[in-house]
Amino acid sequence: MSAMRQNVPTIEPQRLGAPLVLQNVHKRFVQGGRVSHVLRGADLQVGASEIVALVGESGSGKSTLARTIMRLYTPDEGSLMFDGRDVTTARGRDLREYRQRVQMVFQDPFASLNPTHSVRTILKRSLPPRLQSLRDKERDDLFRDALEKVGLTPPDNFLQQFPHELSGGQRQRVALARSLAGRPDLVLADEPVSMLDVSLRLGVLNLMLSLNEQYGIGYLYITHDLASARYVGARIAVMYAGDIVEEGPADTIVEEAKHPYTQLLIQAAPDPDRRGVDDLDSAVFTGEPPNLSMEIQGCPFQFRCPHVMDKCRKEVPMKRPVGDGQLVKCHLYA
Amino acid sequence: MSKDDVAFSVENVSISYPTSRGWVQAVRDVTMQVRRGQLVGLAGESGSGKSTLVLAATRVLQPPAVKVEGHVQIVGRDIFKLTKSELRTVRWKTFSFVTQSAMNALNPVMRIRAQMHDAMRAHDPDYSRSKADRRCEEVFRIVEVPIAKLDSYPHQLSGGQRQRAVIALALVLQPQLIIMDEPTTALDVVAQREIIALIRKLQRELGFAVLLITHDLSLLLEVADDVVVMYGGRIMESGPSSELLRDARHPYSRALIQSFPPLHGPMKRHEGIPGSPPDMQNPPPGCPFAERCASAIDVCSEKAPTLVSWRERQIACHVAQTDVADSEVGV
Repeated sequence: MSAMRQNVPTIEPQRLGAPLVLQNVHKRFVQGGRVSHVLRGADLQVGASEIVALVGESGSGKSTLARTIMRLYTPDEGSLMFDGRDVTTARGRDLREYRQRVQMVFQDPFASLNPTHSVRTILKRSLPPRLQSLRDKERDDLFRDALEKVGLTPPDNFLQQFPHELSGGQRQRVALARSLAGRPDLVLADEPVSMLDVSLRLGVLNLMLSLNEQYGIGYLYITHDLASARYVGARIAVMYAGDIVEEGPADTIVEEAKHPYTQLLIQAAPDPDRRGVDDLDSAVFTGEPPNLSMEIQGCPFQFRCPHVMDKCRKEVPMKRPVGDGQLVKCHLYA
Repeated sequence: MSKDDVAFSVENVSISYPTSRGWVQAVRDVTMQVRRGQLVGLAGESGSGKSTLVLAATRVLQPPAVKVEGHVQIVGRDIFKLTKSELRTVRWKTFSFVTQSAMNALNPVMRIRAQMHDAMRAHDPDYSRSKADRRCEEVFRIVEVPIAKLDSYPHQLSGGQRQRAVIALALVLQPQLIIMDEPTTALDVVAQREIIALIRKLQRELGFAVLLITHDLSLLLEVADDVVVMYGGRIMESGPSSELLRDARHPYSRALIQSFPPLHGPMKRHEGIPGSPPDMQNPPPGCPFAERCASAIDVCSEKAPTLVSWRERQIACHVAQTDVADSEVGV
């Protein structure tokens, strides 16, 4: 940091990061008299300064989980702890403070930035109240710092630009810069690269990795792509039908998946190294995720599982440790 | 290779769109082939011209909406020389098209059976109602969707089933070539896998050729016979997927392959490609990738490289062509 800037607030070199713990979170939505039970007892932990990748198909409830963590929804059951404090039903000042420390980056950078605002205004809107009173020059210095950190250089060119003048990758960087302005401890990134061109994706993922290394910002990286989950995540949690069915260190999940659903995801992921080795149709693919507006008795994966047993149709499996830091909800490992 | 082996051939095709600022060239001097029974992947980012290429080559985009130069043959028919009525008989029967977001391509207020009848009878008047019904049931069986779903509306099918129904529709008049533009992007990984496995299986059984357009190069490298990589309206490199996977020569295709983190094996930090794709309204004079290319030399930003054949491949790169020439001397 240059000597000139020493007196202005920047994203402090202090370590950020705080742990998030979700326990047995349930969320139901009522639609036209029908109840959709979207989160079904999800447990999840993101340690301080940790990157956890949450993997699942569409409809598995991963976006609902992120929105519940953000407290855009209040859980119907279960608890949400952040930095040792219960924020399950936090309100007013406590909720504002929580939302400042936990930020969200949305999937579609074309929709998540206000098209009528310049980048400067977009960043200004994201500042926490205590920084709203900064003088313009100080605030611009803060923004320049944030834009530099996300690789939008020279920052002065970008401050006055509008979203339509930026490419998709640049927009997603603005969204990340916005998430930084409030100095978050944890960022929920909901499919942040799936709308971007392939050649730009890695840049955004690398940016998340380096912000994590330098400042300790933790990430919950939500994706359906296992390969990128392994690339950024220290741990991977696999979500199916509103519940986390397996979690563990990223390499363990990819190399030694225990849950039949995780195994299915790995078989289905494109993998050029498998060319000619594995026959494309040797894998067994059956069925689709269950309809969450129906009550499911037993394991939610029973309808697609090649190893289904009687027990699976009666009891929901408990979470069990199966290895070093690996947890799985499956009767096969009882 | 005899001419009869070729299902789809594009020769020196350039395509421009009229804009308020004059003509914008979206595709430049593209030459490629799909042989019978093959699955060829066309990979590229948005704006690379891949969709424009197939839309213009099948005359979905026609003058005056675009200006097209070059030659296109589909199963021996010279597409740009056909009359409108000839084109109608070639479409669907000789080649068919699965469009982008095909899941939403079905008419939401018509039963699927009626939509299939429409397509069949428009392109082949020989189909009677009962003959068309039999054929509909046959293709539904082929794509493994319950026959009862023929009388459903599209919203009553799941995403995967809708995609299968669209493939059934493409198959219904037994074309020799099916062009698929991002057929699986809207689907989940598991459903995507099912569809790709289905396409491969049907190809083996029925022998049609597929041109699969996608940005997912890792998928193509696994399942396609040949891959064509486009960038900024030009072909950068093309050749057998196994060759490209092992030894891509163009810096762009190499960087693009590196952009997909591997699923297995040791993990190391991959560098992304700096910068962003060129502005096609204002294309650079030289190689479209020069600005982002780590190996670029002076000539790259001045003069666009031509597509040169090397072994089973084609490469358009000043640097790679020199390398290749050197290595040939070495041999």
